[in-house]
Amino acid sequence: MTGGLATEITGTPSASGVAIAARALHHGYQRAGGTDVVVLESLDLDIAAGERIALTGRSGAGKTTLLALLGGLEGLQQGSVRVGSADLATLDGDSLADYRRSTVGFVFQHFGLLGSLTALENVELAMAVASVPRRERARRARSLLEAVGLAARADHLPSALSGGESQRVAIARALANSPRLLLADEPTGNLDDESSALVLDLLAASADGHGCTLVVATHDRNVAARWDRTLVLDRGGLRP
Amino acid sequence: MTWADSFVMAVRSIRRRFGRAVLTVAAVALAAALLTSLLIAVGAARSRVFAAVSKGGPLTGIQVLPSTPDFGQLDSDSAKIGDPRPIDEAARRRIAGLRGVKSVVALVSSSVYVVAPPPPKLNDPSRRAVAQVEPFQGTFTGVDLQRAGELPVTVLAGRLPVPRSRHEVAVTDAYLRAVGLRSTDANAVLGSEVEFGAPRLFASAGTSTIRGRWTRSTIVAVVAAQGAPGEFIGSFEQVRAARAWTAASDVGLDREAQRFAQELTGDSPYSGLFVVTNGFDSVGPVRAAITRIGFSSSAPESLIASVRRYSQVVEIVLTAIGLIALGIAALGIANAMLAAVRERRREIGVLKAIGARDRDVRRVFLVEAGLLGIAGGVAGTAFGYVLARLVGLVVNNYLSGQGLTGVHIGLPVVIVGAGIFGSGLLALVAGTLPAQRAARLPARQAMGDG
Repeated sequence: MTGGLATEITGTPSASGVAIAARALHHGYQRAGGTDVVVLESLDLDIAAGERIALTGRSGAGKTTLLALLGGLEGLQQGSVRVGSADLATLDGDSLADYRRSTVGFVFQHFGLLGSLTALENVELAMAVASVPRRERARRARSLLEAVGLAARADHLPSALSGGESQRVAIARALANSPRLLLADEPTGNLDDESSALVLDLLAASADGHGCTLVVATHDRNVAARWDRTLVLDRGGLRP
Repeated sequence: MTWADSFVMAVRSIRRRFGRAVLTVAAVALAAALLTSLLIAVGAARSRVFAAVSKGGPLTGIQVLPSTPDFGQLDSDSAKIGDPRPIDEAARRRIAGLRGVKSVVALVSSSVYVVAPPPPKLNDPSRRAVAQVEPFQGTFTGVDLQRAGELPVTVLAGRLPVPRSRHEVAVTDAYLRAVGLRSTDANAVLGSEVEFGAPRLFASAGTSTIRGRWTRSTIVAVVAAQGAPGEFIGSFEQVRAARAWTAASDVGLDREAQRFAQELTGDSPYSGLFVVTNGFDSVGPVRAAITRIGFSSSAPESLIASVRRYSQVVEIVLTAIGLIALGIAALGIANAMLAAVRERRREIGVLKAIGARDRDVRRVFLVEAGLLGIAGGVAGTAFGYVLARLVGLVVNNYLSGQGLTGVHIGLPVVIVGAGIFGSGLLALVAGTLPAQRAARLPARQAMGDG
């Protein structure tokens, strides 16, 4: 199945990856008790366009935070991030939403499917947000679900899907608007080995097919080993 | 994201949390039902009270009598009658031309001999059988029946005679009393035939004899009539024919016969006028003008003004109760929506992660709140109407037992619109804070709190 995946995924609208450059990133939180926690400190990061990166580190190292910053889910506190031509420090509100919609595709550990929508509608939702015409949405969503091997499950609610199937739907949704940057946060964290392998194959095929830049956050060394380069987050900074 | 997409998402979300949605809708529906039923009941009661006060006529009506006004006429709702003064066509036109007058309905009456039909059989075994009454002298008032709605006439049973009919007649409570019946027997006389004899004097060899012009009419209605004197109300044509017959009396030089004939027809071409003004505020000025012209008049303006004041107080109090209920329902909606926002933080984050703007998220939640409100409004308005009808049935049962006309429970479009769209609007207001809160949730929520 995975052998044909890359071909099928390539059949979706193509896009080229973006280069990422982060400089002097500093990010922290305040805990409920009022204690300040520094997560990222003076972090520099360079990722080439189309590169496939594994981001590893122990729990709480800041993998998710870094993904959130790269994906525009969270505003920068200090430092700069440039994704392609977009300077994230200058974006906020609608412009940040536009960036997420047009540039980034997210795959979450918890899948992030809306429970009230079917698999097909979940994929369509990403295109609805991008104001893609209804008919075009349905056609592309079916095509993407077919590419991830879930055409027969298109009309099922997430509650009727297995974890692996849900994550494949999430990948189809992430690809719906032809992103140039695919961010996956522990994409196999809730899956068994067989489903994990399938999802990783699918991510690889998606990145290849779209030519998009891929950043996968994981604490699993085997998962990390599949990608071009592994970056380890430790004490707020990166080491190879 | 389009409105249609927001609508679909809102509907799906409601379906997914159906139990909570039902409870929220039920809260709105109960409040809307309370407000709707109160407003309908108040409206019906007010109409009934005003109908009773105005004797079924318009609230803005003035009755003009063929007499000069006596001292203090304008300080009293009742007519202060001075000397007789005929109302002729010129007087009618002058009054009709007054500022603030909408229409003038003329009344013509004539004295007739009445032969009542055999007494009806009554179903009440506790009452004695009613005896046949002797022929009696009564008053027949003719009106333009096409404009009967402008007169203070309330139909207690049956229907009004067909306009211009010469063979249909409505009888008043005075007729029922004359034939030994009660107002609760109104239905028993419908369909029976009554004979009228218009008298005419004939002089012959120094003596006068009376001969009648006899006609027969079917009783089609029993009415309560304030403006029309006597026992019978029919068409102008019926009464004019009777008056013409009587007016042609040959009384010769017999003064007693002359006086008798004059009493039968009267001096005035019209036995009264009923003036409808443009509005309640015009009643006073028009009455003053009629008094200056030289006619006595009556209008329940003081009474109606008092009733209006009291009914407005009642309306305000009951509306306030309904609005408080709606306010509580609005809090319920806000609470349910806030709970939904709390539950769906990650979902909202995912929406933002895939590119939804704050306004897209806000719209989904507002549409959801609006749908809950409109659904509650529709259900509540329908339920409120049913409640009002049930109350109306009980009230009408009581009123008919008292021999009174019942209340009409209608469903005014304004109340329907206010019930449905008001609930929707209220829900939108109640949903604004939760929707705003949802819109402001950071996109980071998509990744959980870690």
